[in-house]
Amino acid sequence: MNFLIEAFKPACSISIKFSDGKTRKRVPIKRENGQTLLAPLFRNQENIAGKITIEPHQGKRIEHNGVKVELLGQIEMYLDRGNFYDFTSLVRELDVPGDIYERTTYPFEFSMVEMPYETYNGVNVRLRYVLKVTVSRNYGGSIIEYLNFLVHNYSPPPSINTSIKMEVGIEDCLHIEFEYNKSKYHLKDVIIGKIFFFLVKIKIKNMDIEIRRRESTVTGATNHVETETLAKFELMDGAPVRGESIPVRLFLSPYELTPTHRNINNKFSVKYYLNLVLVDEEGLRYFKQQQITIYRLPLQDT
Amino acid sequence: MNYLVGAFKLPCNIFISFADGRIRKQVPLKKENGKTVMVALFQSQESIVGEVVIEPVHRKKVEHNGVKIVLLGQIELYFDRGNFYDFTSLVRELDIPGELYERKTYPFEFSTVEMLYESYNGVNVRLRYILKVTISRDYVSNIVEYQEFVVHNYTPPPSINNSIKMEVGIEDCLHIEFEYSKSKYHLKDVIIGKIYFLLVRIKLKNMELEIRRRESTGSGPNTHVETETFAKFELMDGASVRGESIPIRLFLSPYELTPTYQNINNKFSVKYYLNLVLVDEEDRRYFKQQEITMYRLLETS
Repeated sequence: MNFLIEAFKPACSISIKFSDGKTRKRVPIKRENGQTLLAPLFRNQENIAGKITIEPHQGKRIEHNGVKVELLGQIEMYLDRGNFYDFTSLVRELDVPGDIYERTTYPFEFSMVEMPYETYNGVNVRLRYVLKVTVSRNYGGSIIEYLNFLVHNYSPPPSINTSIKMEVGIEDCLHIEFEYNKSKYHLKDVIIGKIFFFLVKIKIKNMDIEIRRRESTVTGATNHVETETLAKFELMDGAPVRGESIPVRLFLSPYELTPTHRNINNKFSVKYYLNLVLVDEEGLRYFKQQQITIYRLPLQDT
Repeated sequence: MNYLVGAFKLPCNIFISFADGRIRKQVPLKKENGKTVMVALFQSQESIVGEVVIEPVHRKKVEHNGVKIVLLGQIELYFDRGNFYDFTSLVRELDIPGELYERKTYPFEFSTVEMLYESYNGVNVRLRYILKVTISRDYVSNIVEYQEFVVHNYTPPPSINNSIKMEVGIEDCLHIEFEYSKSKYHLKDVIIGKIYFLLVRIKLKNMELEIRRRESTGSGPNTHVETETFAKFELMDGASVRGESIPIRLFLSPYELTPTYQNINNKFSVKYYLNLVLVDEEDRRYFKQQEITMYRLLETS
């Protein structure tokens, strides 16, 4: 039985290491099986350099048609699972056809790699960056090893960041004015604001503020939208009276947010909304949704 | 008959232009049909920015499944002609599925693109960079437009550049010493040197210096080597005597040389040699080949 297992094992083990692997920051990444592992973090225009070690098992000889490493930027749609769309593909040939008898190390380098999009793991879409090492073989099937890494891109604080102020309501029934201090927030920011009641003629039971993520994916001519509620924060419990002002102070750091992604390679978009919800005693929900922009500040991964 | 011609014509025209196209340096590029066209010149780590204009013909409506532009770095080997090996592929989606009714312009940008290897057109191998615009369509074939551009990469002058000095010959017959001022030359350089005759016991008719390019493609047992002689420069006509010193001064600028390429993506190499050839009166050729390194200096205009 042991022989059978051996027969299906790859003839060698491949390990991929980054040259600054010990000092480079690592961030958690969720695997498809639900496990979380730490992956190295890069940003756009960084050099990606390292070493690939190929070690044949138990003195086996590996005949091959060449060894190469590819840096791939890929988008995978849930509806088209397993089919990756490569928006970036850079190749380095590491070895010419031949034989590997012993542990062999190949250095590699991709200079100032353009990685314009952030790594993203959504409901219906996934954007990932991988290093893919291929030992090409004729009959035994190629031996392939993948190493995922993350890309985060940073934005400076916006020069213009106007507040959001709006008066909404139902005529002769409910009039409120809400105000949020900014329209653009970084991932570790605080949403500060207030809700002012001008007119209250319905019995309100409670009021919540929600952070909602709206992920829209394009497959062919069809547009699929998925909305998730990432945070539900109770602002008020009980009935308000006219003239009352309810403060808002919502910290974003506890939630797993991403920056706003606008039309990523014409494949998907990710937008964030603040949803103010008022519930009356009959369970009716009155809400007003307001789009906000989320961005990643430098040094926000530390 | 005109209807038939019209049926096979593409429903739209695609134009690709670079943002700095008017001021960017253009260099000649030899097409497969033998014609020479002028194309834009870039270097590694430059941003490639421009716009794609799609113009439907005769106000025709063009239904499509998306428009994209791809920046490709490709190697094509002669024995595998038409099959391109992509070592760089960067994609920008320009438009989602829909319809085009009128002239539409799409801007594009590829930032600080790593273009490690130079464009090269050899005997058995070609390395090229192209922008490829594709209008995807369902039932009819996709509309594709290519725009080739050239990449040159520049090297600073080497810090160490030893001269080449060697004594060669046939025992008790011919002894010469040759010296070239450098071992590394830029494309517009001058080879300066001398040949000194230590012993001459054969009747020499003439002596010449050749520049040879050795292009090797493939690997292992499938390596194919092609050698071309680029320049033949006569150094001496007539017999030489012992103690004579023949000067060398060979300008490289008239020749279409490229830098030396060492193992480009494990696909090919290009090396240059100086070949000193002595011919005796019986037309026997005595030669000594010496490898030199060519590099491209940044031209300061």
